[in-house]
Amino acid sequence: MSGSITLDEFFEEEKRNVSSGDAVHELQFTGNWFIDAGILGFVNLMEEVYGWDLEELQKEIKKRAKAVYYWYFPIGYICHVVRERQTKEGQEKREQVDKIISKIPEAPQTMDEKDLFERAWKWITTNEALIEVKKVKRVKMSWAGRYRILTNFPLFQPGYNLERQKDIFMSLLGLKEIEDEILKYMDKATSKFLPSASDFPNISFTKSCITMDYLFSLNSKAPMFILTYPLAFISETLDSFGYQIMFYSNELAFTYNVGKKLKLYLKKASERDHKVDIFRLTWNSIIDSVIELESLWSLESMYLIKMKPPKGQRQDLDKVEYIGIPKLQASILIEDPIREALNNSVPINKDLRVWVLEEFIKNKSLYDVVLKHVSYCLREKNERNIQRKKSLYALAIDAKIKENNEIELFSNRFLEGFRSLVNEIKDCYSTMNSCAINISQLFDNEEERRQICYSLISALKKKNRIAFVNILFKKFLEKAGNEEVSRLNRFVFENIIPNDISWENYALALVIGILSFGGGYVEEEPED
Amino acid sequence: MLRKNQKIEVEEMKRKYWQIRNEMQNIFKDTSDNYRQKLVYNLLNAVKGNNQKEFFWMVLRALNTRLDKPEVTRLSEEIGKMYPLSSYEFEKLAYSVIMGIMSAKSERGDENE
Repeated sequence: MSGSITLDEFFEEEKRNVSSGDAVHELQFTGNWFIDAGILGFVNLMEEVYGWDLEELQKEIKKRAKAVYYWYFPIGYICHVVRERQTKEGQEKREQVDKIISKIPEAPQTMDEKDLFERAWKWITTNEALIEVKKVKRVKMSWAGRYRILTNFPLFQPGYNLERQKDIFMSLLGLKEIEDEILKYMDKATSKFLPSASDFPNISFTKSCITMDYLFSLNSKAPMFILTYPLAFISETLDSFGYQIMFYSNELAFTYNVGKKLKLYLKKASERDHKVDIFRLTWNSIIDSVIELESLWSLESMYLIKMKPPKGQRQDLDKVEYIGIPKLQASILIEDPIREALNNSVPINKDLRVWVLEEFIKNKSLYDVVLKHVSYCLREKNERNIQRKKSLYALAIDAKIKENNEIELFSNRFLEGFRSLVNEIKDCYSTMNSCAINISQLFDNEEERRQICYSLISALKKKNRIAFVNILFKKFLEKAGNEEVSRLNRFVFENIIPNDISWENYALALVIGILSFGGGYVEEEPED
Repeated sequence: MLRKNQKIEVEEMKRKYWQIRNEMQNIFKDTSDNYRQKLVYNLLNAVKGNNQKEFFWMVLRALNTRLDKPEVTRLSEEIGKMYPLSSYEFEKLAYSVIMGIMSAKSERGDENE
């Protein structure tokens, strides 16, 4: 994200941009998810056809916006639509369009938008592979593949000839005044995002629900982005799940990055023939993008939009799933050591591993996961498998979240972005860790360690603090004279006895200490 | 989350328990290991059964043998004011007492270092 500027500076710059006509240059999200999907689709289209990634596209737009919008876009779009259709007709036909795409000439040196588009259209119509003559002579626009969702859209109407198609394209690019009729069809094309016709049976008899003023207030190129919104969806999920998905957040770069990674992960997962878990893959992509872009604020509002392909007249928006996480979790997640510790799976029984991060994101108790994990390892007499660092971090996070569970909105802690909470978690982890090391040094017999842990875990499962502390103290009595005992005493006195909210977390940390260091056969991990 | 005044109350309680623990530590600091271990063991059993009567009987009997210490009077008064306790408060007080006795030697050792 860019460096901080004052509000005055921001408005100054906006004013300058508007007056110089630069305001439209930088592609950015509008906040309306439908238009934003179009913007993302536009980026995807340009990448698929010309190989420009977002960064490169932004550069191109900055350098020669008119050429991008009025030359490269119309040609690229039409080639892409035709290629989508040809793909169905066989590899050979597809390659025919690929050849055309590879021969798309550089944009001519002219500053006039209309002139640029006229030349682009001329280039399109002179390519025979892009034209068909059936009832009328027209560009082979058809709603094949991902464009199926645009069935009602005027550009795709089979009865419209070249001239009419050109007019519509020009209207969408803002080179011609948009006719009412086009707007009506546009409304129909997007009606899947509006109440269904049966809910509002008069929808066809009224004027368009979408007004141009509204569209332009979102983005000056909004009508154009209606053409590209199907490309924002990832169609790889269509075969296995029966719907397409789109990841959406409030930032273009973040959404683009996550979408790209998600596509890649989906491909890899399907190659490995594993059961694909969309939630997990999405989160993996999100986590990777967060690391790259440090885009903390995007974490707070994210959506997975699922869309079913149209069946007959129905074009359903299947589901919009909000997958944002609360500010508290987001602030914790941005911290490298914490995220790394959580981004792992731990075994909780013979056939099941739990991804700790997923539990964290879903706001589930990490204490329960760690308790199951430790119990399982103890039951299997496989204490080496206890993931000490991850478990202790999970316990520390869980403890601090419990202790700060109902932070008031607009409290100091909320506004400062929970920075102090992150430090508290780190401190809590190091306290737990040093006590785990201390308690481990009290035991040297494997069987003794196991026996005490059976009783301690049983007390924890019953949530019986008295039983837990009694067992522990009796053991401390046997080990009296040990230096560690006084430190552990203090730990118990400060964190377990007076703490009614999260005492179990600290108690379990001690159990982990007894189990994972005992006998000196487990290597100590380096401290952070 | 605890409200602000609740938080102050909790902090106040914590401070009180620390004081009790430290006073017990001072009172029992020159007793034998064996004596302390036996006492702690019996006290732990009383806590386990939530037996306040037996617990205080043992504590007061132990304090009675150490009347030369100035802390004893203050501590007895404090316990007298608090008694009888809810099981929730008893748990906290009892462990403060026990931990004070347990830590008598080891912490004294630390101080000498």
